[in-house]
Amino acid sequence: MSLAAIGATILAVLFLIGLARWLGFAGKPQLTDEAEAAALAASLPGGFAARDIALDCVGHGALLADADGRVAVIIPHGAHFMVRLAGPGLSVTRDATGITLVDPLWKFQLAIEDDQGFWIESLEKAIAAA
Amino acid sequence: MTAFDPLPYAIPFFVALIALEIVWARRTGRQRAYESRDTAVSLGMGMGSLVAGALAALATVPLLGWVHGFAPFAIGWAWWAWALCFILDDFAYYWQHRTGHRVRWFWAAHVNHHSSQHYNLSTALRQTWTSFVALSFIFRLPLALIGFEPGMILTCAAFNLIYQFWIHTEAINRMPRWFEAVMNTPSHHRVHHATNGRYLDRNYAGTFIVWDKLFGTFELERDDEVIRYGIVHQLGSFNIVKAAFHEWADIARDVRSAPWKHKLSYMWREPGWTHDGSRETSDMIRQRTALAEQETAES
Repeated sequence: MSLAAIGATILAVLFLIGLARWLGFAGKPQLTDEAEAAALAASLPGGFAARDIALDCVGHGALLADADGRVAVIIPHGAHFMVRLAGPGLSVTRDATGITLVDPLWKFQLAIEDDQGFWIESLEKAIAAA
Repeated sequence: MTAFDPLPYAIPFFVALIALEIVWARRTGRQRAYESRDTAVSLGMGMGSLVAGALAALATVPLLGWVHGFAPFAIGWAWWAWALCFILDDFAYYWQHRTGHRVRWFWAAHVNHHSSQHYNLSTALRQTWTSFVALSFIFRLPLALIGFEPGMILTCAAFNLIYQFWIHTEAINRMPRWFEAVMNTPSHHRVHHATNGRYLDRNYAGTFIVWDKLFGTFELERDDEVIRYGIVHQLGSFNIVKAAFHEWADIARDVRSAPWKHKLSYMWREPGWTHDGSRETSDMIRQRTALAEQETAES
């Protein structure tokens, strides 16, 4: 490829990113209720039957626990939610405004104020057991 | 060596079709079809792969020529040789791609193509930077060894890659039945990019879906099941460097911490394999999904 072709390709890439942004393809998704969170967790490969659910105050994520002590974490990633089982590599801290989850590839704070102790304990147990 | 590279000529069409798909998604209210940061990572990976491919060609082109020197006869440049080369290259691609999902060393180079949770035309360009390191080129060497011209092999491989661009879309539901029966299509390839249990490690085809039907890896897209895209453990990052290298880093970490007798297995066994059974492979997930469905059906 010539330098001109490389330059044109870079401009075209910038144009496409700009077009996607200009047309509104950005921003966080929002969970409407616990049922939506449960359905998302159920979509984990192999399934997940939620017993306890805690929604982020503004619907930007959720924590879900099942009868086997597993904890599913739902956080936004672009236009979609990312659903994962708590496991090795994940660490958890709490503060006045919520629970912060830190993975080697991402970090997110869930605004969960109720039952923080229960969720921290569940997360730590699930991480240790995985 | 004569080799025609059609890729630079295809790029303007790629750009135009992605722009059209973005506008289509907006007009039809598919607000989750695109995400600008995801598009940036996919297109950035595509641009990086052009550079990585050019660097890899410095070694793979002479290697193909060297292997071709051992061919018992020269097939030459006849029209039928082009057709046969394209078909056999697609057959080689099927096995390269299947290995790319079943052997972690190869998966480390291929995983970035799957790590987007979106499925659109920009995902098609989310190509690897580390294919050469993973030794993916070895699958093309037999073609040179049986006598196909290296330039012909490289041109066919490029056309195969270009064919696969248009199948990365949700804008097309199904093609005519005869086409779906023989060719790889958006429907078949959506299955390949899905993380739904039943769809894991299915439909490896490049151009012709017949290879999957022949070798037992074909799965039809169902209308009653919503597809979720990405990888089993979603990446959760728009960092392009992490997207390109995260699985290599994970392999290094696993090999470092594994007992000596299991170290190699973390490179050549399937993704998800562990010596203590603490993670799941796609076979395990498929099995668990099938069991759960069976239990639901019986209850």
